[in-house]
Amino acid sequence: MDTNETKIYLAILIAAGILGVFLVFFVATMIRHHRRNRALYLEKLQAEIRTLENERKRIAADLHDDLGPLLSAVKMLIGNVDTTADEDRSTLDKANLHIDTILGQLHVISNNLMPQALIRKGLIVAVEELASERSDKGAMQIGFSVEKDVVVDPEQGIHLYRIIGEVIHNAEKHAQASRMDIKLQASGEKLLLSLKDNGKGFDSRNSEIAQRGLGLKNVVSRVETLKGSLYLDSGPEKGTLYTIEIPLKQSL
Amino acid sequence: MTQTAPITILLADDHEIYLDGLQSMLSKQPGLEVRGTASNGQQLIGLAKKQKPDIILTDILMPEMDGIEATRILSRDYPAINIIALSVFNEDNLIVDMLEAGAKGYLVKNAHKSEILEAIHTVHQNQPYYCRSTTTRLARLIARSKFTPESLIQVASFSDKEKEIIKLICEEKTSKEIAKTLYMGIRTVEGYRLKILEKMNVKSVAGIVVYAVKNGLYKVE
Repeated sequence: MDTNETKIYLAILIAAGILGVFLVFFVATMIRHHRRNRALYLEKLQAEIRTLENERKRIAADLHDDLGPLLSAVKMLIGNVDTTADEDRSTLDKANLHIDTILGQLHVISNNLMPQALIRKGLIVAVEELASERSDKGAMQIGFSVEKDVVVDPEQGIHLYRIIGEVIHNAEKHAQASRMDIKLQASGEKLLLSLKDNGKGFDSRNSEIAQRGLGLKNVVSRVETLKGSLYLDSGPEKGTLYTIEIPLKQSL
Repeated sequence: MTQTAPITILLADDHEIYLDGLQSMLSKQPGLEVRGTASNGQQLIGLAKKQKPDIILTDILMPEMDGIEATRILSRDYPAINIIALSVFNEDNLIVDMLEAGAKGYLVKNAHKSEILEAIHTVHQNQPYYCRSTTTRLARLIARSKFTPESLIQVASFSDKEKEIIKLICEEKTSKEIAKTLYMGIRTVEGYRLKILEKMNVKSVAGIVVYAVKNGLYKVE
């Protein structure tokens, strides 16, 4: 073999080697960066959501525990006025009616911000309440079943509650579903939440998913914060099945 | 009616202006006597120990000790005192907790004066009182809860027709719908309704639902 040729081969080999090392180094750095970014991103997301939920809780408590009782007190005071004049009577009746309306709205707002049941009783009772309320009011019947002995950590519970709320909203608004079944079960170290509706469904590769926009994005962020995974199974006229799997956090 | 001893009452709420309003309203009523007010559960228990009132009206969410805990202690130590829960909103879970703790009835705080008085007199007769704004959903929750005052235990017997109507009432049917389903006149249905209320010794649809479920006349799926 020609020595020249050998030299060239050697040079190419060395060059390729060096390039390879660079490449490996580069890719490794990229991966490391990506991981670090991702961890930072998750942390930021978690902090954002936590701030949001705390703020909601505070506002809901202010409305619920302070403004509500004060308004009831005002109503009580008005009720103590004794008058025989018809005109005054009807003015007072009107005022009372307005107070009742405001109280009703206050309850709805505070409940939307942070349901009392979620704080006091945890996820399962809160979802039972939500399911029966929405079934009564809306066009969609919601069934909820829980495997016995499932205990959900309070913070995870808030995330899961929001996810469930969002999915119900999607099914009602976009999929025109008439039925949804929500199941919560624990399997090994995992908590499994599945939500199945009989609505229109969508092609998950389609841009329709983008149209669903913020709602689904919120679900995805919540699942990420929970370090879980979300599986979507849907097709036109097939309904939609959301399966969410998160690591079980033992409270206590 | 000749009035014997007045019904003695204690009030508990952490919002002073509500307490003031309620107290001044009640003290104007003949036959009622407000013996004192407390701003939390702890105070209420101390006061009840001294006063031994007939009736207590208490808020649910209070600092130090809430109404649920106070009710649990009071109904264990002084079962003769009848407790009415005051809820700002119609909150199913808080109300069920209060009833399970031993309250005999509940009211939303914006209830009309006449309803507050009705509640006091009903509970004073040892009968449960359900606020007029009670939804069927709440009635079902109450029915499934541990709340079972003695007066809810079945004493009356019902005819087949009555049972059928009870079932339809529990399914949230109006008299008009019941009349249509059973090929009866609305008047006849209304008549049955009154008879059922009387037999069960209850005052409202919520009362019928709770009684029916507790005594197996209606099964919730």
